[in-house]
Amino acid sequence: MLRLTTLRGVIVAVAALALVAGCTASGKGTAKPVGGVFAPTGAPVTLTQIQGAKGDKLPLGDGLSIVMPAGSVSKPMKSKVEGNQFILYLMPDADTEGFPQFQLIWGKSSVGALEASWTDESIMGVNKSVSHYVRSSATWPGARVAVVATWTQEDARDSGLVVVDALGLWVDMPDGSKGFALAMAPKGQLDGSTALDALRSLTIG
Amino acid sequence: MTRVCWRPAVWGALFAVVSYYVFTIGIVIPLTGMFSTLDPGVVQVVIVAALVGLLVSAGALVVSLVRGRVGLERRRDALATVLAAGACGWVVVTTLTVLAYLGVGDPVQYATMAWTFPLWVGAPVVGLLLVAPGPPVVRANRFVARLDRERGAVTAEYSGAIVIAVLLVAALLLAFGSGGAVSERLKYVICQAISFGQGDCQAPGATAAQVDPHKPTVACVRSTSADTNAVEVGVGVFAAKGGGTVRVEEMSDGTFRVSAEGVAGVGVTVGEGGSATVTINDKTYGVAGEVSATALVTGTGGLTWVVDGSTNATRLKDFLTEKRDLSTLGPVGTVAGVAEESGRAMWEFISGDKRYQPPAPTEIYGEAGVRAEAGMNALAEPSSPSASASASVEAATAIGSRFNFKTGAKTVYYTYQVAGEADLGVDAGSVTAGASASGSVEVLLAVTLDPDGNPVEVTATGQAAGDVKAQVEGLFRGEPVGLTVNGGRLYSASVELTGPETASIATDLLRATGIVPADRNVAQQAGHASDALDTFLQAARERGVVTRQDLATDKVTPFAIQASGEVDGLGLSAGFENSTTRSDYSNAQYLSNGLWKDWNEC
Repeated sequence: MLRLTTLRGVIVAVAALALVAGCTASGKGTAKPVGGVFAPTGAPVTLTQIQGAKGDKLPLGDGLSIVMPAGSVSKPMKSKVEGNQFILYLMPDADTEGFPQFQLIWGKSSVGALEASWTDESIMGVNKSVSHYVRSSATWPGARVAVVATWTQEDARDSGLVVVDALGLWVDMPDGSKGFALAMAPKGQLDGSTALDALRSLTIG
Repeated sequence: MTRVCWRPAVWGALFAVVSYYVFTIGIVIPLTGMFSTLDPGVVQVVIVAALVGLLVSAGALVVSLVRGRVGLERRRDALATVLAAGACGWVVVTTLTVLAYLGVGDPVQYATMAWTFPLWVGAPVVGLLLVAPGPPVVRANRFVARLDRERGAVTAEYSGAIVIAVLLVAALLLAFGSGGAVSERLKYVICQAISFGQGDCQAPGATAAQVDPHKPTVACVRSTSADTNAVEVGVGVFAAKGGGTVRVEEMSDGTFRVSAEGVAGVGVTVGEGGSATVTINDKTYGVAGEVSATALVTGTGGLTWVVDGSTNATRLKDFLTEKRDLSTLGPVGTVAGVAEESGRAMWEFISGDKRYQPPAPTEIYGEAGVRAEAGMNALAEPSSPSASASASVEAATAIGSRFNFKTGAKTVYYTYQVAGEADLGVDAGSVTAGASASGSVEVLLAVTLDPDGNPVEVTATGQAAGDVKAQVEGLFRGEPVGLTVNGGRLYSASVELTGPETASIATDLLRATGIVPADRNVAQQAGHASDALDTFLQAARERGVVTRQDLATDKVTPFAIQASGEVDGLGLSAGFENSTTRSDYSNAQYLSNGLWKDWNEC
């Protein structure tokens, strides 16, 4: 017959072993977790990289390169953050408002793709000119973490209301730097657009 | 003789109580600033040693008085009197302390005060060793003899009793009259007496309408300490960054904001109805919920807890820091973490104590990172300076967001630059030497929205640092200034959108900076933005709240996309650093009818 102290010792030992083995009891609440808040809420998407895309392969430095169709116009933008590179490309078939359009910005940043895209979703959520915003996890060759978001955005300009569909790709790169690629085209024309093809030609490493 | 001699006991207790308060209020509190620069352990030892010395002195005084009155054959004859003196002193100090806690609304630390009883009773006993036994010698010590002789004794006793009574009454007033008519009347009388009736004294019973509407009602940040610990882990050609930051902000209302970002293994889940749980190393704390996979956290985004009192803040900070430290140790940390959990669980089982569980987080926040600068209007150029206003403003850039789990409110942060001087309210000729009038000012706009997405408050913040001190001062104050402040200054102007006029002004600013859609293009909006900012700040001066605080930090960086969090009052986050950064705020003031007034609550 086990003595009480022996029984207690056995229970302690079993409990310790359970902890070491990583066995933990779950909580008893009724709340139903829906995943980490920083994690994308949309269904995972498949965004495939275009291998061997036609056009001019442009090495951008830091291991990045893209393929741009002939006739594209690059406009290096001045980034507020020292060391960040920001290039805007007007596609050869761009209209007077500059769409389709491709933007790429990369550099050292402590903000990861998950947090940056969560913040973007939060900010876009209060922007009355943005609709149909969906953020999803994705995979991208060479990236440690990749997140994709799509949305529709409108802007009042001198020429009238401009409405575009947009796709943004966040990538955490192996060297710790971060990148964001943005393809925009007039509403309904993003799929198959030169801007999206340029984004899908992005190569890391 | 083992009976208590009450007269020496009362004198000893009185000596102990008075010296205790002289030491704590007269010495310790004024030297708090110096103590904060020293090793906390050393400071604690010094303070305790000094208190013990005072109590030993009180015990010696009691023994000396006993010997003078009735003689002392053996030291232990005075033991009961010494113990009585210590106990009496402890009762008085404890009573006053409890009343003080109640008066300021802090939770009473009964357990801590109970621990001081042995000190109060035990330390005076040491005084027995300092006084040799002997026959009654009335004039052996003329000072002691004076204390003990009968002449005037009754008066002295009454005086002592009166002092204690006054202290008790004062404590009662503090406890029960805080914010009430009595304390207000006292404040008014003291204010009138000090200022000879010429001061700006708040009369008791003043109505709300008489309270300065420009005075901030929210708590401010007093200091921030960011304990950071970044670890570069090299794996092949990869350079993964682990570690994280745990930051503690002390608020003026006694609460603390504890933020953790980039702490591996710390995630948060949202349950039904918006309730939140914290998942740390796959264990769920706070509001009950199921264990879920830990969110991957790399930075820069995190969680903020608002807790009462430094004790809770320290426990939470230690908890998070421990997790951070363990997580950055790799396999060693994992083993240590398991051992720690095991040890804690075992102790919990044996002792019945519950391990510390952090409360549910209050807020979650994140930064936009490199994405901030890209967007639909990236091609739009800032407006060109016009002949009438040599200032230009670019469209605002969204840099971060913060969501409050409890209220459902969301705050979005935008930054934009105002360049030039005309619209900054600064006349170049009046600016002090060395302060350039041509620098650009970075303004941070925080737009708070209710759960329905309606803006409820807009706050503009500017940091006076480097060459733009005068511009920022002029911008927020609304008139040219000469500024000679050392270090940095943080300015904030907020307007609650409670009326149609302020809502219209704030909305105009948001439209002008491209934050909300407008019926004109961004370049035109930007041209309008400097006017809109001036109008908004004017509204803040007239109907809102404008504050400023001096800022002492080893990082005085004007706002930028990545640097906004370095001014911690903004609530955004700093990048990972391998250092401890502390920011101290001082000289808090608010603007009232064109004059800066001290913000004493801050």
